[in-house]
Amino acid sequence: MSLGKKTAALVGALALGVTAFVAAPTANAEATKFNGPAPAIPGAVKGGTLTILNQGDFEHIDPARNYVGGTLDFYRFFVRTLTQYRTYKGVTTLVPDVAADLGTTKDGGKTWVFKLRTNLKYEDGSKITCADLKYGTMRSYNDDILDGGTTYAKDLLMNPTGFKGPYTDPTGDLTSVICSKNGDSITYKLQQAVSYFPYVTTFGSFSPVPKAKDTKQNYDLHPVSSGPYKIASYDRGKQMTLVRNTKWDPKTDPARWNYPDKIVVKFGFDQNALEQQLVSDSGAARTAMSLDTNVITNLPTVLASPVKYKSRFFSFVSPYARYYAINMDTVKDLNVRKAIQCAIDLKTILLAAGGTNAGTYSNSLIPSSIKNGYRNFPICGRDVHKSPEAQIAAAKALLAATPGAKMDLILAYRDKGIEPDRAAAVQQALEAVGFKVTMSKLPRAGFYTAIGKRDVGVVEPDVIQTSWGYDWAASSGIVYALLDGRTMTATDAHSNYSRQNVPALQALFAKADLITDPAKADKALGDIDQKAIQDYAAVMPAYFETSNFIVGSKLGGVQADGGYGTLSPLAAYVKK
Amino acid sequence: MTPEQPASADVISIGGIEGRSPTQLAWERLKHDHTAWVSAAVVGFFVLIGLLAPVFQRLVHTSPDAFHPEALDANRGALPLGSFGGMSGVHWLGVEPRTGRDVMLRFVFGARTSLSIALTATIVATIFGVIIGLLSGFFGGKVDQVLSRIMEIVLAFPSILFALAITPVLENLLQSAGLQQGNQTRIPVMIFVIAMFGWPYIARIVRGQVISMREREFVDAARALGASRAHLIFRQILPNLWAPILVTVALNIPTFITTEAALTFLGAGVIEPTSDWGAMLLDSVPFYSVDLMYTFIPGMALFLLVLAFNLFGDSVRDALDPKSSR
Repeated sequence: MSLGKKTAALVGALALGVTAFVAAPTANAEATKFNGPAPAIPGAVKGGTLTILNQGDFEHIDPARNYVGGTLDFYRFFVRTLTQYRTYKGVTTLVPDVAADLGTTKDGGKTWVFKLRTNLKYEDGSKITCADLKYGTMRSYNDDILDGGTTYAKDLLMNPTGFKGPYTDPTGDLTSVICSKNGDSITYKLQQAVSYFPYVTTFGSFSPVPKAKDTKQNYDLHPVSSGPYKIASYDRGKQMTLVRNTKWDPKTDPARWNYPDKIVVKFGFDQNALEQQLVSDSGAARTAMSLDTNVITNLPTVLASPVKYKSRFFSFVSPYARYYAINMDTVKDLNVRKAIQCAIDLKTILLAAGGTNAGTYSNSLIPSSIKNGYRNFPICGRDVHKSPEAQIAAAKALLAATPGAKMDLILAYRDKGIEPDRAAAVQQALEAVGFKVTMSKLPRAGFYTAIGKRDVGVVEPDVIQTSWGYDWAASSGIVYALLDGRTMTATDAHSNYSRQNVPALQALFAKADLITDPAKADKALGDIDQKAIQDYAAVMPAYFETSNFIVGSKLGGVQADGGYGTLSPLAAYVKK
Repeated sequence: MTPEQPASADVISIGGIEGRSPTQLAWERLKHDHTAWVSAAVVGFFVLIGLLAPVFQRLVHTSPDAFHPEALDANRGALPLGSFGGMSGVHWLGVEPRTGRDVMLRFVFGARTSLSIALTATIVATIFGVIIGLLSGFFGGKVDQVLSRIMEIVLAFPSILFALAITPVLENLLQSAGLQQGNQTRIPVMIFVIAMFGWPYIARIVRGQVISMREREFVDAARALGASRAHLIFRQILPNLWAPILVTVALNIPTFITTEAALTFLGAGVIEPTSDWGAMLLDSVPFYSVDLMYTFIPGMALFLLVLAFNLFGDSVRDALDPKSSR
């Protein structure tokens, strides 16, 4: 599965709750707790208009096409999915949404059965059925027409009849999705065991779409609402207005709130102007927030008066790991790769990004919030949290002990924002130990494709400055994508930017595939992450980005969302 | 009785009457103009620090591109440690936020970039403008019509917008001709773009002067003696034009300095890490409310330099052409 898309689309605009820890899917005994309504937000009042000011319009709000963090969070106002995240008091929990439980499997994760809530309605009062849920998944197979979304359904579900989507293949059927006779449960048959499947079903290709109302590409303008709000008007690029959906029953929904009477989303702001407006908290900005605008240029102003901004400022660790992939195909010598790990100076890198307010040092690709997967281990003999500086002597010693070491390196980076500054910091650090670094500045568009390219005749970079935002908070959302060499082809490393293909590690991956217990899977993948970094020097992690959002003083209930790693308006209310 | 007194006064007054060329007269006037002296000193100062940039580098033992993490406060948005943008005995004008690069070194090396681009563009624009102006004014008729229309078209262009649009196109052209991406293509493109929009100003002034001069007696005399056109243009007319050319040049330089900074500020200028005043201003904008010094230094320098060049240009004009009103 390639998650690069989300990373490519939204780097710098996503975030994850600092204390957020997404609870693993648990047994059905606990499912009763996941009935609606969602617990009330203390102090919240109904009424008023919530304003959202965004730089750009949503790429897509059609559930089959939405794959952008802030929008995935926001579109829950009108889209329900099989499972969903609920963030309450800083804790993010996976809860059943259209489903009535978190899924059960009897064969170790190859077949998943979800019970369904049977009393749900769309905005027009018609009933949400199991067939609609199946149709929602089926239309994601027509990704030639409905582009932009996740490919999970296509990648994971069995498709023995070669179904190509309802538009291409109107009479065909996706036989691996089966509704029970009375429509109160749905069964998914997967190509192989996937222990994290209930996380995958939070995405829009697992949401109900009424076939009669499917307008293909135009569904993107008005998805039929199953949530607490419905679209009253949507003028692309300008404004979207949401009003209450009276057919939605809070008692059936454990994940959503409906405090404001109206939600207005305005598009087309300039980053700096928007920051200024929100920081100065004047006029309409007092009841406003932004889904796509981190405080970047005005951050020093906000930090200079912490007391003044305390109640409106949200700073939390995002799911974005910034790291350096070391190309194991071109830098074959382990000692040279280790020397690169030693030479990279995390301190200058983080400073170039804005210091400790911009990120948290990391020794691993797995964030510390994934407790079973993460562990602190030294890289080049240093605990990067305590000594992020370069280990120049160690790097030089490694290089001196390696006759014929590759000393000419190509450093690839993206031409965007602070990336060139960070790359310059790495160049200086590498040159300080004797490497000669050629800078390869790649265009913003197509960067993630370019750095994965491998072929005869392609000049591959040796060190790649890149990043990864996970799709769910588990080791499986990270380690498979970034370190599993089995997905690599002769011409494309996909997101395995290090070109890791060590047989010993591949054997560990094969073992991890079979683990169904989420906690144990997290741990096994954590072992692979540690070995790949410590023993094979495949990557040098740098830091996890911090998201810094500011909201208007008249807004309450806004919270950092651990599910999508962004600031969530879902529980927001307008103060009287 | 002091009979010598009036006599000596006579001697002095007699000695004061002597033949002086227009150059000498202008020089005399310039010498007594205080504004000219002060503005020349300011311009000289900036040129000097640009020339001495490598000396400054030796003095502070670092390079303009070297990062200095030790001078930054990691917990406060990576702003410089200490007051006034991190001014200290090591970093005399402080350091850049986030990178810790030495501001003084970036400033003096930036003076080199900014001034050399502006001056080169001035030279190119002047040579081109003078030639076109001479041809247009001397030949008149169809030649003049065509050249004048071209000048008007160029003057009517929204120059900065056009420069922003054409820069990548020209760069691609140079790169496809085998030049490397980076400042080795960007700087020539910048010089070309600045000069491209600067030459008509000089050409128009020269053209006007040539028209008023081509029928004068000395030109007619030379023509009657059978002098070639080239001789008439370059030997007879051009030497009489250097005063207006000089004034235009002096007033063009500050315009070009601002244009250069503006282009860099808007992203079509000098590429990092090469330092430049426009780039420094651009980098400093996000920090103006928390690190004013960083904005103040390049901003103030640009202001002073442009002001000084303008005042100096005015003084030169006054000295050369005292009849023109101020």
